[in-house]
Amino acid sequence: MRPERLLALSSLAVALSGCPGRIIEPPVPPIVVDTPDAGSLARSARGNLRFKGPERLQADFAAALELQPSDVCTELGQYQCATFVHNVALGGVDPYGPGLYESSGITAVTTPLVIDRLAWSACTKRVDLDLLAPGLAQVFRGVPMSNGKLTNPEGQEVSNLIVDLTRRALTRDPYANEVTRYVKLAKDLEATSAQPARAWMQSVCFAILSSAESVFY
Amino acid sequence: MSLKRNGRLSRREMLKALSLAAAGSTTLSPFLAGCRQAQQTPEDVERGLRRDALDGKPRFLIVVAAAGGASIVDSFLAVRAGEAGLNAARLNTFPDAQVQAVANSPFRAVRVSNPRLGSIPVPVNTDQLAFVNKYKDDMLVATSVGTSVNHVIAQKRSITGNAAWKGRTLQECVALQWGQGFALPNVNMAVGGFGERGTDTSMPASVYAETVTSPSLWPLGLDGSRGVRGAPARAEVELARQARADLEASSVFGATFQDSDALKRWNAQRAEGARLEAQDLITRLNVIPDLPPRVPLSQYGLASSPDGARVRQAFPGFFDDPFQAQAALAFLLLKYRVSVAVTIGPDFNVTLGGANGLANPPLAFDFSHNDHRSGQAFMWARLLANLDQLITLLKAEPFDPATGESLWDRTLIYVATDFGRTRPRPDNAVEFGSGHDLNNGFLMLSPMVKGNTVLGGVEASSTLCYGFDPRTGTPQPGKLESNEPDIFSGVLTAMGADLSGSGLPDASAFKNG
Repeated sequence: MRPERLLALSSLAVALSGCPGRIIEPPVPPIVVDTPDAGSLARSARGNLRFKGPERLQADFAAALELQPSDVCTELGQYQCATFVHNVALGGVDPYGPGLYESSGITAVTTPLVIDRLAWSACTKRVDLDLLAPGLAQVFRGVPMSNGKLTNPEGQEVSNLIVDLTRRALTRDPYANEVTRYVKLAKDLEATSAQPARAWMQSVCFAILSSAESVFY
Repeated sequence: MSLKRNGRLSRREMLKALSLAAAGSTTLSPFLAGCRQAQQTPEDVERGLRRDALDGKPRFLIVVAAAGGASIVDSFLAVRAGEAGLNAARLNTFPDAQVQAVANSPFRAVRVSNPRLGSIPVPVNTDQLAFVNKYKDDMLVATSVGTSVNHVIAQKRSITGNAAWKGRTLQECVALQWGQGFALPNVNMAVGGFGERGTDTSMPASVYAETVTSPSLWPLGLDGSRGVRGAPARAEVELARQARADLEASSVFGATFQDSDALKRWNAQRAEGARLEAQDLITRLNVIPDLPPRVPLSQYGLASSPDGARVRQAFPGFFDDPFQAQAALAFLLLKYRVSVAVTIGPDFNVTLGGANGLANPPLAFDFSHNDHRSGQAFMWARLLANLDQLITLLKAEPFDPATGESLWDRTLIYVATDFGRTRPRPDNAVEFGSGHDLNNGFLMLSPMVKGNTVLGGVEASSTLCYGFDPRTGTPQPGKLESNEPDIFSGVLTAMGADLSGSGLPDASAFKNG
């Protein structure tokens, strides 16, 4: 190919992409999948689930919520949760301190609590960033609110946010029963929370990120 | 109660029978312990096969992992040069004046004064006499011969008795025996082989150790949301958890992997987590004080343990010295009935701190490769100082007001170690290195052990320990065979554990009374 023709084609490709150096994927319309009949599902014959472990969990939570990995969770604002304080509880190793060279390979009693802490921390961080600057919001956006409440918990925007969060954390579309349950959660929180919209965003994010489906593979 | 035509009980009758059995066992249970005692034949008693009454009250085991090889002939069984005859100059013997006799006791106590610790310019001035005088009535030393001089393997064998009972660790045995109903029956903070699980996988998941590597900060993980800045209030947290639980109960993922052991364990652990939160352990076990900006507890809605001040007073180096932090946490785990078995111990890393600027030398007791005498003296002093503080706390803590028992009355401290150290040294050398040796001895401390007792002894001309009969305690000079199962059984026997079916040797000589 002649050099001038290659240059022209490259310019055209960049122009068509809409933004130099960045490819925008066409938006995928929100999809809610019908809830399958539990009786129709085949059981896994091997059932060989594995816990993700500290590094993968931190990276996955960070990627899902567009955070830096180091911002996912810190204890007392300064000690890293996944790579330091709770590293071993999350299945990590610590060769230089206690000489722990191999992971036990199984979750500990405290592991679910530590997962909860990671999820609450990461979700709270993302929700607060997005609510503080709605124009720059990355995840929690496009949901109408008034006086700290969701304007319409059953609205399409709420459903879209559930779809988006599920795709981000679980790389699939949500089932209808999940959307219904999270809408019910919004109504429950309205009765108890001083900031129900914020609490709902945190809570849906928490429930998805800390689910067994999210932390095992 | 009638039978079906096929001779079996109907479902309703079966339920009725089970109810009656349950009611009967509740009513009869106080008498069963008596039955158990009554089952002991005079021959059993004569042979020393004593079984304790099952009083329903827990007993506690603290394993202190003396990593690197804590030498018993550099402490309670030290040998004077004057006793070793012609070999004295070439064996690990001490100038006579450095080995102090302890009044009315078979124990000895070593005093060491050296201007440096190997190549480290830190003076070593230690004296074990005060500790031995204070605790001799609760001290038992049993001589030992191990089967490995590899650190990790020997460490593990010191807690399994070299697979004496299906490969279970002592801590797992204690957790199985007394840990039912405890949130974390077995917590392990030690290094290497001391931190490993046993090989018997048939026990309930709860008896295997919860590994803790950062004892000062670990309690922060005992609640799923408290201390997470900006997290919703508890009521909202529970609503979110309920939504998660509802969805997981019918999820595609859950249905697909319902047979997965990992998922079953995970669901059970979630339920256990709720119990941990209910006990407010994030506060009760939290040794660290509110010290912003380094430790801004109050800014995160957290608080120090109600026992924080006195525990920090006992272990002032808790934040920088992992061993002190472990000891502090061990006390709180027992006090709040979280655990029945806790393992602590110094690691192989340098820790700065203490009066002379060095809290832990590199390699802990294994620093003896560089400078045996000062290394052993330094590490024994470090160990005994922290044990003194820990026992003092345990003694001051009431266990059962009805009986007047303290927590110490129901606790056994087992100072496990990898192995002993080689005995030869260059002629009359004060600074010399030592290697790993199978021959050694173990220290146990508890009101439950036969106090002020040495099981076995030392052959002064070689400084090697000889064995003993684990049932009678009779010394057996010349016996140099491995006795790992005897030590293992001795710990459990002293604690009064039920060893039925274990096949362990009778180790009645370890038990008090």
